[in-house]
Amino acid sequence: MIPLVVGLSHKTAPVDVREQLAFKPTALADVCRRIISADGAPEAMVLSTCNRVEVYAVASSPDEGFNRLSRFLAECANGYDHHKLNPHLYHYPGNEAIGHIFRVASSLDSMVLGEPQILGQFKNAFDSALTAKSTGTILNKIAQKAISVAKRVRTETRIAENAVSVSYAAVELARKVFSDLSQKRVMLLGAGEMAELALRHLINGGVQQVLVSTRTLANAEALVEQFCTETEIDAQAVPFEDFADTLTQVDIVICSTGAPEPVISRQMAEAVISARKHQPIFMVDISVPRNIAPDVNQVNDVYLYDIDDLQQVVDANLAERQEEATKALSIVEQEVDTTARWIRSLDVVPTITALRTHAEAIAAGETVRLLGKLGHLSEKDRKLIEGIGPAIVAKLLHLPLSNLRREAQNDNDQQMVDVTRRLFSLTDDERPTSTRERGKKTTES
Amino acid sequence: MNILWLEFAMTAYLVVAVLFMVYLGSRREVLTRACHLGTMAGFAFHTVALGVRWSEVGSFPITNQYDAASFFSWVLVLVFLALEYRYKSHVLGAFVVPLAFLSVLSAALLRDRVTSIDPSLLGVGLTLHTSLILLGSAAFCLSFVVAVMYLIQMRLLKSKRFNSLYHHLPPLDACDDMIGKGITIGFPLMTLGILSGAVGSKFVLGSYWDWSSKQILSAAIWAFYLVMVVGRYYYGMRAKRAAWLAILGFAGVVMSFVGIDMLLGEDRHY
Repeated sequence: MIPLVVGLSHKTAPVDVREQLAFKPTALADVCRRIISADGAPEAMVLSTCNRVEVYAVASSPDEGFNRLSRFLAECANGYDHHKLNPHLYHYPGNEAIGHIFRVASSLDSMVLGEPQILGQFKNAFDSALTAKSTGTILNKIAQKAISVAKRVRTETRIAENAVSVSYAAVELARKVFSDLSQKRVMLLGAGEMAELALRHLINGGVQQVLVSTRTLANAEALVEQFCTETEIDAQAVPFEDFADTLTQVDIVICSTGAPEPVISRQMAEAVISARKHQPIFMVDISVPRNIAPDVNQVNDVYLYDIDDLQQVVDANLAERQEEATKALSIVEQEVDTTARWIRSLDVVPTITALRTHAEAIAAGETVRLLGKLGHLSEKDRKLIEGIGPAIVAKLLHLPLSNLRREAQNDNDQQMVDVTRRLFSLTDDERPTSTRERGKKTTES
Repeated sequence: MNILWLEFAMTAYLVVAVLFMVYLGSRREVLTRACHLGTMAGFAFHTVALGVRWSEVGSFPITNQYDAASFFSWVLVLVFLALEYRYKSHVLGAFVVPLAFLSVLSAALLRDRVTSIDPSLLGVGLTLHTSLILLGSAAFCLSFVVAVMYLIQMRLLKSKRFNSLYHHLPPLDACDDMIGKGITIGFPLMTLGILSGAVGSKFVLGSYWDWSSKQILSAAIWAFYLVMVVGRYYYGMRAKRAAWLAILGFAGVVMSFVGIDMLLGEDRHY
């Protein structure tokens, strides 16, 4: 049995194709069941996010498996025929499939490298498959391993560190001025969407005192009410005419008013900082055109950042993530190797069982034959003689079987398995039906 | 004079200083373990060097410039190790260890100029005076180092250069607090040091105050730090200005350590 991946992602398909295929989280279990019952694959799991739809499965023949799964996906995509969908699909067999699944779960294949949601989505997909009872030995192993690989990547690399969104970059910068945000007071000037998002990040970062000032006081009051119900912070609305007087009491200003000219001038900043006895102020201006005069940054102890500066932080962090990704990929490679070995070692299980059954049958037969001739023995002696057969079988087979297991983990394992089967004339009915063996069978016959 | 152990310490500090430069050049926490172990090794050698010197001199070895410089850098490294342990932050080492290296190096270079001290001057009083002054100076030195870090971080933040140094350096207010702690701890030590010196001077030389240039400079430095402490706690003198003052103050301390003796050739060894 070989693991397979069939799917599409933001890298291969535009959103209008992806949205045709996307499954609701609640539908996943049902989709898994349909794949199994339609004989698409003996094991299946489906991952569906806004950036990708993928089916993980196992099959004895990759080509056949790919065909069935692609057809199945085409059926699921309303109004998309098989041939139209095909160019967007990727197919990975064997180790490539394992590697792909690990990369996806570790967020190395994500649109935003290292983003944290994908692992949760992956876990949900696995849970749905477990509910549908559509996974077996191989997919269970791969999915569990994928989750542990993702955790390893997260702890052993810095892939998920540092801000990769403009609104979060503001928090990262603020932390370089103030070590403890919980003691700081923030003023939100204007209520642009991104400014509000930055404020939410700051609140998550520990900020507890917020002032909101917008041109229309009602808007500020509405926002304050919203913040107070959602979080346990102390928020107040400030009339826009009064914001300048309040500035001396705030440590962080987030500005996005939509005004055509600056609302905070250099003179204003100088007055504020001097009234604050040069306690630093951190200002973020997310508005375009800018609402805080750029030369405010030249005032001592005032730190002003505009949207381009924040983008610069994000770009640097993304470059850093790219570097970390190389480290993460080598972790993935290692883990693919151990998982692939484990899956290969499954191939040898039927041979081991057959050999053991064969030997145990001989031992049992001989014991029965011998005991028939020794009718005078006491119960205790009979027990002793009955024990000899299994003991000899276990001791005799211990080394060959462990050698066989070890060899099976290597790539060229098949030779040893075949030799064993020929040596002991083991029957073929219990042999696994992987492609490798099918190939052998046809050449043999 | 046996300086073998001091040379070991010096080598370790030099290696660590170079490693720290590599550390500062990368955004990641690279080489921190090597830096930590190297600093520990240097500190161990340094401690042995102090012990050897103690047995050579027969009393706590801080009564000439060689010993003073060596002891001073030993305290500096000790404080860094303690802070590193407490705050799990390595970046301070990138500034402290090179400074400790320079201080030990100057000690090693100065050893030929060391003149023997009048035995009558040796005693608990002198040891106390010098140790207090050196401990106070080490605290001021720490304020100085952190002030340099503050100004670098400030400049990077102002000019929006988000490089590896920016990533390693602590937040501005943490630096500012540390500057405050340094001068707040250093100031009483320095005050007691100067007082004990004055008392010692009365016993040995007959007067508390003899208008030597070193005494005048010491008094000026003391007054400077007094202004800093008072300014900080009563007038909120923090941030950039406090950083510059910490740098100026320590420049004065260094002057009084080496400058006066060298420039004026005054024969005063305590």
